[in-house]
Amino acid sequence: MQNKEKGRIGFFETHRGDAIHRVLSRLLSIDGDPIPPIQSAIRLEDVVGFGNDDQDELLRVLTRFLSDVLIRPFFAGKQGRKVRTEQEFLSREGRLVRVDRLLEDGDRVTLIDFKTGRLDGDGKYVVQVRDYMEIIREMYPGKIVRAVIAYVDLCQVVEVEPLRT
Amino acid sequence: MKNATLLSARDNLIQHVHMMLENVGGDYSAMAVIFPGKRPAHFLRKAIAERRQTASIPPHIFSIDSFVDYLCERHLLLHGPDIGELDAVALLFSIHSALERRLGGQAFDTLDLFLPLGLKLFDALEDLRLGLVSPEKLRSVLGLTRFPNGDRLGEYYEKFYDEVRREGATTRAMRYAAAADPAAEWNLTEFHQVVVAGFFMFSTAEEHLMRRLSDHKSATFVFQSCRGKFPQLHSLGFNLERTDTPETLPTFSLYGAAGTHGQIFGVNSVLEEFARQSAPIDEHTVIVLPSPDGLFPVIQWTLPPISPSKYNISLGYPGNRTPVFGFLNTLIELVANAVDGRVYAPDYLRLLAHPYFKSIEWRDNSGVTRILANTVESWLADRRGWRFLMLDDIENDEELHTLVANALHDTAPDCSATEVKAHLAQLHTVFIQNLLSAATLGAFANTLADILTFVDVHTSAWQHESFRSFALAILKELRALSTSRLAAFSTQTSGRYGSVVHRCLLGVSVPFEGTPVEGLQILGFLETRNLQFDRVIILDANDDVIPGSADVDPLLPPALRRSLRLATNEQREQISSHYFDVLMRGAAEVHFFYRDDGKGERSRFVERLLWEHQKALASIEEGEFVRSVRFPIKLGNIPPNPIVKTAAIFAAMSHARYSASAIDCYLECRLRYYYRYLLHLDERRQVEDGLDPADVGLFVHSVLAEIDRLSLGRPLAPVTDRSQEVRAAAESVFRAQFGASADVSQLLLKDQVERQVLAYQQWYSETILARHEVELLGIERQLECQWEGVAWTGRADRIERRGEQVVIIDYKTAGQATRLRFRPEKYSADVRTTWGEAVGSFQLPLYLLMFSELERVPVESLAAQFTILGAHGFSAESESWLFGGPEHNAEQWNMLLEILRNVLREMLDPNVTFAPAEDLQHKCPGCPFTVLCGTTWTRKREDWD
Repeated sequence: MQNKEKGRIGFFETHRGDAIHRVLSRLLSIDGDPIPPIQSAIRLEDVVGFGNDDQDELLRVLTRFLSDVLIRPFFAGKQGRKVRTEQEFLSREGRLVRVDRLLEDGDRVTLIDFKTGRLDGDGKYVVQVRDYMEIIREMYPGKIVRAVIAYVDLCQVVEVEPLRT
Repeated sequence: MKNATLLSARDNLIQHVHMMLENVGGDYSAMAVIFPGKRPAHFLRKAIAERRQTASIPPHIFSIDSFVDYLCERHLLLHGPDIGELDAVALLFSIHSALERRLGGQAFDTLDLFLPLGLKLFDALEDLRLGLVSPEKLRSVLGLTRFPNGDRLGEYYEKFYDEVRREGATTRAMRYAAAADPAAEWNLTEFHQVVVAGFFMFSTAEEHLMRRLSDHKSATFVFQSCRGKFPQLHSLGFNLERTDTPETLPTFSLYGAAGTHGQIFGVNSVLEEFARQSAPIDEHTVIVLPSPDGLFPVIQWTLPPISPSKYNISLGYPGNRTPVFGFLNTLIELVANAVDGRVYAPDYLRLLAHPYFKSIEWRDNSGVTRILANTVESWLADRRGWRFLMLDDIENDEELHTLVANALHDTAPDCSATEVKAHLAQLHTVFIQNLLSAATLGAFANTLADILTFVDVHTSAWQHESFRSFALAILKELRALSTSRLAAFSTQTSGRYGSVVHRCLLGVSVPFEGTPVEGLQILGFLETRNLQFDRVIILDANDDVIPGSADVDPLLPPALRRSLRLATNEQREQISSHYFDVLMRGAAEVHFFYRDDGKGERSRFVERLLWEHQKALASIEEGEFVRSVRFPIKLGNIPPNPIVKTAAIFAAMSHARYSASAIDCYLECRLRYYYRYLLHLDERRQVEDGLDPADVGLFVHSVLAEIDRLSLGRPLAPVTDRSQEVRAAAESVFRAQFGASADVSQLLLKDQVERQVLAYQQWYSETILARHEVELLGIERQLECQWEGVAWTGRADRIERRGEQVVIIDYKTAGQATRLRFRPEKYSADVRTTWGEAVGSFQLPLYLLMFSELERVPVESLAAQFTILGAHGFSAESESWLFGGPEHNAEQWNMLLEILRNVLREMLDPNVTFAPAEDLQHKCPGCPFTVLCGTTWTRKREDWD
């Protein structure tokens, strides 16, 4: 038997990904040391199947992510900024989508989609975020909509260009 | 007094709620809607999207559970962890263990024994909490009853919630109680509009919650009733405003069918009829499955013609019916039955034969483990007596590894015997040893999760469309168990971990979730709450399913529940009845399917609806509504066709060596002979539970041969006591045949055989050896000869010279040999069926023939007998002679030879086909080839119902 990647059903990845999303949804703004708010959010999240080791790993990964210079602006407290986390939107066809983080800064709206694990290999994340963008543009007519994919484990940010402007 | 709208069953609740919501440019986020369950949210969102035709932010749509959680977290700041079922049981167990007067006395003193009680206890305590029953009230009510567990229940109640509170944690019922507390500080000012919709009956906590909500100025209430019935509304003090939509009865049909597949057949016909009428099969049509029995038949037989995007399944499927659970249960049983690190052979073979196990890849080759498993299975079949296996023995048997490597020659030539050994050892470690060595319940659960992940990574199971959802649900429960307080439970007997895990997995429900509001809806009964459909098709409309049998609650019996104002079975039935009526009366067309197999009644709800129709028509005739689903089935059994004797077969037969068993088999059934002796098909030998009669026979024969081995070729003298000899022979044969790890049934067999063989030896010595001079000429003697141009072969158990006569003996472990006896009076040369009936068995005649030909002695000087070893006690009747006694009978001998020649002539006639037996009903049961012949319908008389 050879060693392969983790399970195809991705139970642990899904489980970990859910936990990271849930913790991030509790963080509206971070202006100083990110560790206390992350610890508080982890404590508030009753994550089934996460022992102490897993929680320590969660804290480590999120601290690195939220300390990164590329990520910090999305969590900075700003005058007039409205933050929505895990915000539901309905498409015109009645499809429900849930946006991880949405920032309303005057005439600008920024959509942030968090991803755990590796970079989007086949472009499906981009397709998904573009779909969200279209819905947001309909909801915020006349505003400039920007969308990014933020990779939590990699501390990378990828801009998503809309299909049409 | 608060105003509330009371809709009729014909009104569409979702549309009504939707119309109530104020349109604020597509942003409904300042509005909240509270339904009893989760499902209406999907339909409400769809209604909003259809109305707006552009993107929008939906309102906050809560189920009552999620609303309570929201209140607790946002307003009451109850952030403590949720004590789920598993942690609750652990907590209750520690309370239970510390109590002097425990529920059930000492009967539940270990965690595995306590678990079922703990789960029931937790349910009962949560019911009490939801009923806002104070400990004082419980004590006072229990004081007035003679309820035997009363005072003890009160103690658990107080201690449990004190402990949970002390830890800063909560349970579901605690959160309800907190939200319902009149002093609790919460308001809903963040919402401009709150709509509470679709509730029917309330627990005490919910009732208090509704009162609090009704004080909220922006809250509006919408209820729905059937025929104006609504028991609790007036007590809540609502001022009801009724809609005037008239209630009408749907058109409805009842279909009785013999089973689930009959119902599915009927459902398909109804859907075909919709298609013929050009009625769209869309989200306005629902198939309701009140029992999960119908789910997979619907998936397999109803949905295939429909595109997956055009239907939606939403219901929970019991995890214990999934193949993933079945696989884990195989492992749990294996561990439970293991003794001192030795695994029970049938359990081990069940694991080897499991598709998940067999398909484990070795270097991306999925054929290796399959061939390995099959080879090990055959290898163990030759060691059928080995009941308990040391895994080390299998891992260190080089002969076995070479055998596997040879079998893999074509499939995986690079898999050497050394690689086989390593692969086998790894499989044992992953699937068995890790479980056997788990030190705690948590480690055991984690190991099962690791095994499932291993199967996911190293097999193709993940390609099965339901594997992922099944595995995810079970993995989630295993992980929850491994991080719960139960995880620390430790015992010397790892089998007890299995029973706890098994019990926990029984509660797993696998969610089937599809595109929520697209196309045909397949929903559980509960999932239909608050929804309206034009066409309703409902399966299993039987009373044992809807409403189902009432739960028996030994901890909170009905009288106590009534005294404490807790939900009773009657109220639960009322709730089911309400939602059933609203669903039915909201539809235009309803099709009920029910089992009419004589084992269940039609649902009382259906009967009531039928009665409404009958009243409306002023007729008690059912015929107009009731139809039967019947398959066009031809029940006749077709006898198997004869098989022609081809030239190749004829040539093979001409050169074959014939034995008594082959001739007996041919006379019994020519087809059976064809399969067994020409195609060489044989039943697969495998390790099984219980003792195989063939093993018993082999053991007895071997013990007798072992005893006689030293006396071979010597005159025998009477011996007074042969017990030492018999015991030693039995011991030595037993070890060789059953290995070192025998089970109880095998040890009992040994004991029994020892006693019977000793009794036989005693009788033989006192009766035969005392009267005759006996010389032992042969044991298990191979006999061969040529006769009538054909080669014959056989093996005689024992040949002895008794006085002047040579006696050939065949041992029979049965209690009698009536069926084998020669009955010349039955023989008629022209009637073929009499040949076999007359001879019984050709064993003794052929032994005489072969010995006489081989040793060139006249057959008249020989005698043959069956020695019956299985009877109680030994006597002259224990020797069943071919001709009734030791004397030769020339007339009967010639008759036997004539029959044998007849049979041989027929066998070697190219024009005679291999026809089935004439009397299939009696000849086929027990035959291993019934599947090939298509005669599995013949059964042994004792198997008839």
